[in-house]
This record gives sequence, structure tokens and C-alpha cells, in this order.
Amino acid sequence: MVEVRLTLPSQSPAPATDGSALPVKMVLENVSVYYGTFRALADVTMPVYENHITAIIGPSGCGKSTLIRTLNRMNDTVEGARVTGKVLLDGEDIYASDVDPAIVRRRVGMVFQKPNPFPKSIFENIAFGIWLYNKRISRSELSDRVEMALKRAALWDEVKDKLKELGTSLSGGQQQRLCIARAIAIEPEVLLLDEPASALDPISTAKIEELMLDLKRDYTIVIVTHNMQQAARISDYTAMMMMRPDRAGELIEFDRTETIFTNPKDRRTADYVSGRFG
Amino acid sequence: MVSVGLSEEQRTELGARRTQRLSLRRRPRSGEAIIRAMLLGSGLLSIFTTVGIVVVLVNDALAFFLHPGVTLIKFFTDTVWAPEFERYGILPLATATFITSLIALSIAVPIGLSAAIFLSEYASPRARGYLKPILEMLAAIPTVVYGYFAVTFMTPLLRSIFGADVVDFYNMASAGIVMGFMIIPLVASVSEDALAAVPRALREAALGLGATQLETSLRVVVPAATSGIAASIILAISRAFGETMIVLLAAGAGPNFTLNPFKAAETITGHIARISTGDISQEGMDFYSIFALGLVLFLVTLLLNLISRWFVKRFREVY
Amino acid sequence: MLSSTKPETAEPGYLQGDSNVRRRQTVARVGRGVLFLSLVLGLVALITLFVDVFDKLGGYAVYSFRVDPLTITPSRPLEELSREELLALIEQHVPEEAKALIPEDYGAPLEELSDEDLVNILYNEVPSPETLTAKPLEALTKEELIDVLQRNLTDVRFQTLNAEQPFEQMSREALIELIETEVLQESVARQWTLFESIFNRDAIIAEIEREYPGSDYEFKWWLTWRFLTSEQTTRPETTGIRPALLGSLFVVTLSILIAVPLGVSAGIYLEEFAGKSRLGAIIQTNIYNLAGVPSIIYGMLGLAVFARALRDFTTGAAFGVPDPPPNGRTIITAAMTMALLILPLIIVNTQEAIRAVPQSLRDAALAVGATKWETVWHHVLPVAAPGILTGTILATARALGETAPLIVVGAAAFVTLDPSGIFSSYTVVPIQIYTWTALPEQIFTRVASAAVIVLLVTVLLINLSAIILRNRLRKQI
Repeated sequence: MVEVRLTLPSQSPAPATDGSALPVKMVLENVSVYYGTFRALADVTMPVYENHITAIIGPSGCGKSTLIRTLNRMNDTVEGARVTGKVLLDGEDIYASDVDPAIVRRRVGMVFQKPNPFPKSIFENIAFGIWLYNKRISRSELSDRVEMALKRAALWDEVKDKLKELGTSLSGGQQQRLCIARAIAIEPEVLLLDEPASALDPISTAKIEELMLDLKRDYTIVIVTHNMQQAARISDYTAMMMMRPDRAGELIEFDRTETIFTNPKDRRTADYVSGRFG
Repeated sequence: MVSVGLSEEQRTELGARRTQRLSLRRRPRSGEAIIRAMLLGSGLLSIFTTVGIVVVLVNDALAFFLHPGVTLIKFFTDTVWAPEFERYGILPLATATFITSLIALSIAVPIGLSAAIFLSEYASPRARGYLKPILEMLAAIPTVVYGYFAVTFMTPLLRSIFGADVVDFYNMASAGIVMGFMIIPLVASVSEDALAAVPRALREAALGLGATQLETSLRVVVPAATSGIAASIILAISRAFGETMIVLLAAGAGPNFTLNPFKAAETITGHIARISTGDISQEGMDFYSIFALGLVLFLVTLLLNLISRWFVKRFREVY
Repeated sequence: MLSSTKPETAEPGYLQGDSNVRRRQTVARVGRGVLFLSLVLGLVALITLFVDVFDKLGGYAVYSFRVDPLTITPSRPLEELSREELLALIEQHVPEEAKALIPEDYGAPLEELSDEDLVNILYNEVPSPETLTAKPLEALTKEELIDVLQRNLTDVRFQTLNAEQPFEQMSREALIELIETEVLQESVARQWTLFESIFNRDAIIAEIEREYPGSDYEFKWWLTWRFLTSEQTTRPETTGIRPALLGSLFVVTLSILIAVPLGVSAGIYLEEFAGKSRLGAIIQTNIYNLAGVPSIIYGMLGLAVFARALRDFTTGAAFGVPDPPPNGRTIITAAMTMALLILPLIIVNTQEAIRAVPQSLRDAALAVGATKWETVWHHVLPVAAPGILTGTILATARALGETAPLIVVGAAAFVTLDPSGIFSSYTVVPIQIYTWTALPEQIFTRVASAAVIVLLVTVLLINLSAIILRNRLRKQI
């Protein structure tokens, strides 16, 4: 097993593996996750670079979703979940006792595997998050920001005439872009996407990939995917995960996407990206 | 696809908003804390209710048992309940409760269980859709209406069958039979849940061995659901013990130590209700004695409910 | 409608010759029939109950008057009558044997007695001499009828009736009817059941003419608009359930208003906030146990706590309400008792409704920075609302039909006044049914049948709406 050891002074440009200095947005330090007594994630240490796309790949059940959900404390919602180690956001540990998880999620937005729009109007779907932290916002400003988010998610043209219709009445691909719009409407700094295209058709998938490349300029993106072509197409960095014999997920390799796909250090990575298993 | 990036102006705006980053520190959310406390308080209210019941019953029952001449032994062994002679024996009331409940169960258990087996093993989903509302209707009828039914229909019927000289106007049989009707839906629905939870594979195994549907139901499915069915029966006993209106109207208005179901005899619940109707003084032995009866009733039904829960739990663990 | 694929209907040829198999098939068929029969029995019980209630609801009734009509109609004093009229009356009304004794008693034959003696004879020998010259009601003019009412009713009652409908505008027939119910207290001497009246009509009418000659009879329904809108009286013919209907409305509404916020809050706490904590588990077990506590025990709790310990508050005495009802028997006592009774029902239903809300919805709200409560309030509750509503409707039906706890906390059986507020005494429909059914006079079970119909129809309609709502919800999910 190859230990990925990154000693990263937080808040300062870190030496990337290719030698250039990049700003680090988030850092995981020796992160383990337990569900009750079961250890789902073992000792993960890795950086998340600002304004880059980081892909997390690996066979199913290896803890990819668990890992991404530790980045905005979504694991808190799972009964009996416990996180050890540190997850730093701009140098601050988001698991410190005086941290408000709601604000963590405000700064680290998330899009889920299955589209989960609120059973409310398209407008309300986007507006809810904005309104939550700005309850005195004027109607017109709210409309502007909803419009901006929908435009950003490339959904505006399709829904601008039916903002009052239920979000759940849209097609699967549209619903997922609505969820992305909902996530970016609150202007997080980091955007987490947990297999956002797994339930979608190829055309919707292409749209979402294009969208991510566009969003990269303004957001730091982490995406879980089981689709290696997707990881290769859109990500800058890739984290390769595997399941240990005790069924805990571990990070076996982290590097530039190019390197992972062309010259991986770990044999299992090579096998996986070439489609020999997984 | 139209990809809409941000204009330079919007980008600056976003950047500006971003620089005033939200502090991760916990915010004071006092409203939320109050709401949480209120929710917890509502949850605790149920505990207070239970505590209240116990305290109230024990408190006044204690006043009863501390009365000179009343002893626990006499309370449980004397066959006469006659407050005017200072005789407080629970036996006549308890036997009446027992007999009416026995009659009710001997009606409700076979019918309810058969209905459950039919619904779960034979009826198509469509048929179930028509048949289950019948049971739900039976369950929804207020008990005072069942009491009315016992007095105006069941009692005259029994008297015309067995003779008015054999059957008293108020009698335990009429109350028990009608109470049985009332309890059918309870037995049926709890048993049906239990039967429905038996895995399909078990049925298929039996059918595959050439068993008929009836053999499969009675020899495989029902035994597999035993603890669930036991739970339903125990729940039914508890319900029968606690039922008031039917026995108050139909079973009789006076303690009577008899085992003859055609005689009038007052049950524990019937006695409590009758004594508390009218202008009862909120002190005195009449008042305290009903709390002693209430305490016995509460403890017995509580025990039955706990046993029933235990059976259900065991059943859930198996499947 | 029943499942048609039965394993026992295999190829007949294959199974021929095996008598054991055929026997088992027969047993299976019979068994199936027996099982089905049990459901039919349930249905029969339900139908019999309805038939029984309807059977009591109407039928031929013969009336008798509690008061002799001739005693209240205007009559001429005997002293004003002519000699011929007096003699005619004696001839007609004095029994023969009395007539025979007249010469002995009065010292002269009838024809030779003075007018004064003739009057005395009438006074002495006739049971109610003042009615001898009375006109029958039917012969009176409208003015005389109104006069009869005025003389025989209390002033208050007279004014009230006049205010409801001025006598001047009523027909003579209507006035006579009014006198019959108000003054003569026309009462049902005997009533046949609905089915007897339908299938045995001629025999009944023959019997009436034989046994009750000259009496009024009619097909009488007990469930009438008047019954629903009148206050309670001691007579079955005039009593009504308006105070009970209003009492039920007050008690049930109030108990729902108390129980729903508390029950929903407790349900939210258990599902969303308690998690797997020990306290949550204790509360949960406790709620299941409370749901099985006999309702009469709740009555005793209410009696000891609300009616006795908190009497000053539940009668309003602490708030300066004048004339508080004795023993804390007020609407608020009943409502609080009932609220505790239906609380477990509402909690359990709320929990089920909340549990049915998908976790992905909570995730979505949390992921945009909503707190736990904001998530619950804005997203979980709206989705769970129809389920919670179903539970509330079921609880309403339950509260409407519960009787035993209200007997214990002291619903008064005889209340003529409408409830006026939360501190007033009250009665409710089920208590009325109980009281009327328990009365020794058989005729009151007929009155009870009308109240039973009112209660049954309301409760079953409420339940039906809950069932429909629930089925619709299941289809959505």
C-alpha cells in the first residue's frame, strides 16, 4: 500500500505534484469515519485545490460518498456516525466543537446522486436557500438571484416561463440542474457533487459536465464519479479509493488526473482505470 | 447548449460577497433552542401523563387501603362488595370482568383470526380493498353504540332464545357477545400484520411440497406468526378488561358474585363508571374505593400491554 | 374478486385415484369457506347493528294525553244551565244505580228537585263535572285556542313560543297541535318498530283501533329537525339534543386544539430530534403503553387532577367566573382529559407521517445551510401534513365517540342550557345515548336511536374521510 503523505501548510500555496504552487481550499488530515463500530473510511489525507475540479473515483462501496459527505458535515445526519481527524476549510477545522454545521454547508454546497428537488415551485426551490440567510431580501433582488442561479445552471431558458410549476415536474436531467442551481444560488465556495450524473441520460450528463467546467472559474469543485471517462474529461486532480479487507475505504493514490490515468504509481489504480476490475 | 458564465461585473460582485465569508462559529439561535425545548417538553408530557396516572391512582387507593377494616387480603379474597357494610371484596367485580371478557374473546379470537387468515392468505388485493373497510367500520363505532346494541338487540334476542326466566334483563352474556364483535377488528388487524410479515418463501416452500392453500396457511404460516397472533390476543384481553360502556349498559348495575353468564353482575369498569356518575363527593370511601379498583385495572392492563409488546418485538426480530 | 389460482386445482387426471388428495382438497375448500364466513359474520354484525338502530328509529305510535283535553277548554258553569240541559246531562252521565238512589238521597224524585239540587247531583255523581260542558278542542275558535294556551302555559313559555312563531299567524290546526304537545303533553302510549310497521301495517292499525279506540296514531320518526334543535326535556316526545351536540362540538374542538400541537410536537421530537437517545426510547415505550391504557383510567386521571386538584382553574373560579359548576364538571376539564386520551394516537400518526418523508428531502434542505428546525418546519412538515391530518381526523372521531372518561369526569346527564364557554357544564351526544338507553322507560331507547344515528353517521363519515385521504396518500407515495 502506498501512503499518500501530503504535508500541507494550510492557507498557503501548496506544492502540487507537478511542482507548481496552488492555493489549497480544503484539507483532509487523517480523516476516519465510523458508523457505530463499523469503520467506513480509514485515515484519509488529501488536499482540495481552489478553483479546480477534484474527482474521487474507485469501485462501489469503497467510501467515496462517505468521503465527500465529510466535507460539509452531511454525515452528521446519519445516526451513529462519527468523524475523527481534521477537515480544514481555509485552515479552520469544520469539525471543531464551536462550528455551526449549517454554516459549513452554506460555504460548502452539495448536489446529490439522485435529484432531490423540494416538492415546491421551481422558484421556491432556488429561493429557499437565499432567503434563509437573508430574510429581509426584497422580492426583486430575490428574483434576480434566482434568475442568475438558473442561468448559471443553464436551466433558465427551459423554465423561465414556468417558475411557479413544481420542481418535481421537471425531467430527471432538468431536476439535477435545478439542484445544481439551488446549490450555487447560495454562493458556496466549494461545490460537492456526489455522482450527479449517475441517474441521467448521456445528453443530460454532457450538459452537466460542461456546466462544471464553466463553474470551475468561480467554485472549487469535488465530484464523486464511478465513470472514469467522466473523471478524465473534467477533473484536474483525482483521488483513487479502494476498500480494505476490513471493508473500510482508503485513499490509495492522489495525483493530477493526467498522471492517474497515464502513469499511476499504484498497480490497483492502473488496473482500475484500465477497466480490469471495478 | 447555452452556457451562461458570469459577466465581469457579476464576478466582482460574487468575489466581494465571498470576501465577507461567513464565520464558521456557531451563531446564537435562541429561537431554535426554545423550539427544541418545547418539542422535548411535549415529548415529556406523555411521561408526566403516566406518572400522573400512577400518582393519582396510588394516592387515593392508599387512602382506601389505610381505612380501618380494609386489608389487602380481604380486598382480594372477600366475595362481597358492599360499601354500606364496609365490605370491599374485589372478587365479584373481577369475576364479572373475567366472564364478560372470556365470552368476548371466545367470539373475537376465532372470528378475528379467521378473518385475518382469509385477508392475508386468500383475498386478492382488490378484495382486501373492499373487505378491510368493513373491519375498520366495526372498529370505528363508538362503544356506547355497541352498548345500545347489546341492550336493544342482544339482550332481547338471548331472552327470546333461552327464556326470560333464565336470562336476566341485565346479563353478562349479552355484554360479552357484543364486546366480542367490538374486539374482532383489533384481533384481525394485528394478526393480519403478523401473517403478512411471514416471508413468502415459507409459503412457496409448503405449496411446492404439494400442500393445499389451507394446509399452508394453518400449518406453516399461522405457526410462523404465533407470537404476533399471541400479541393480538393479549391486546384483546387488555381491551376487554378495560371496556366500560358495553358492560355498564348491559351487564348489570350491582356487584354480584356469580359464574352464570345469564345473571346480572357488575364489572370493575362498570362499577367505577356507575359510582362516578351522579354527584359523588370527592372524598369518602366510595370515591377512594374506585381508585383502588382503577389501580388494579391499570396494573393488569399495563402488564398485558407489556407482554403483548414483547411478543411483537420477538416477532419482528425473527423476520 | 377472490384469488382464482389455487394450488389444489391441479390436473384432475393426475390426481385421480388418490382419495387422500381428494379428501384434502375438500377440506381445503371447506376451510376456505369457513374462513370467508368469519368475514361475512363481521359484516352481518355490522349490518345487524345498523338494522337494529334503524328499527328503533320510527314506526306506528299511538298517543295518549297526560292531561284530559276537556279540562282545559272553556266551559259554562253548571249553574248557568237551563233545567232541560241539566236533566239531559244527568240522564247522560249519571250511572243508572246512582239515579235509582236519587229519590232516597235527595228526598224527592228527579223531576221534582230544584235546579240547585240538580247541579249538586252532577257535582256529586260525575267524576269531573267541570268537563261536562266543555267544548272539544276542535270546536274552538282561533282566539279561544290562543286563550287556552295563555291560561295553561307559564308566561315565559307563552312569550317564547309566541316569539318563535306568532300565534296570530298560525292555523287552527297548528294551534291545536301546539296545545296537544305543550299543554296536554301528548305522549306515546305504545310504539311499534320500523319493520313491524312496514311489514305488519294492517295488523297494527287493527290492534290500535281495538285497544286504543279514538286515540291519535301516526307513523312517528324520532330523528327530526326538532329533535336536533331542541333542548333537553324530561319527556321523550319533546326532548332534543341541541345542548349535547354543542357540548360535543365544544369538547372535541377544544381537545383537538390542545392535543394536536402537543402531539405533533412530541412526534417531531421523537422522529427528528431524539435520535436513538435513551430518553427518546423511554418516551416511545411510554407512548405505546399509554395507547393501551383503558379510557376510563384517563377519566380517573381527569377526575383527580383537572376536576379536583385544579378545580379553581377548571371551573373558572380563579378567574372570577360567577356560579362555577360544582365538582369541576366543566367543558375545559372534559377537553383536557380527552386531549390526554387522544395524544398517543396523534403522536403515533405524526411519527408515521414524518417517517414516510424521504431522507433525501432533509438532505436537500440541510445542504443549503438550513438548520435542523428550518428543515423540519419548511420541508418535512409540509410533506407530512396530510398524514398528520389523517391522524388528527381519526383522533377527532375517537374523541367524539368516547363516553367512559366523560362519565367519570362528570358530564352531566341532564343539561338544558347550551354550553356558553369553556367553564360551563355540558353534556355530549354519547352521554345522552348512555343516559337514554339506561332509563327504565322503554320509549327512551327510541329517542336514543335517533342520537345513535347522529353519532354513528358523524363518526363514520369522519373515519371514511380519513380512509379516503390515507388511500390517496398511499397512491402518491
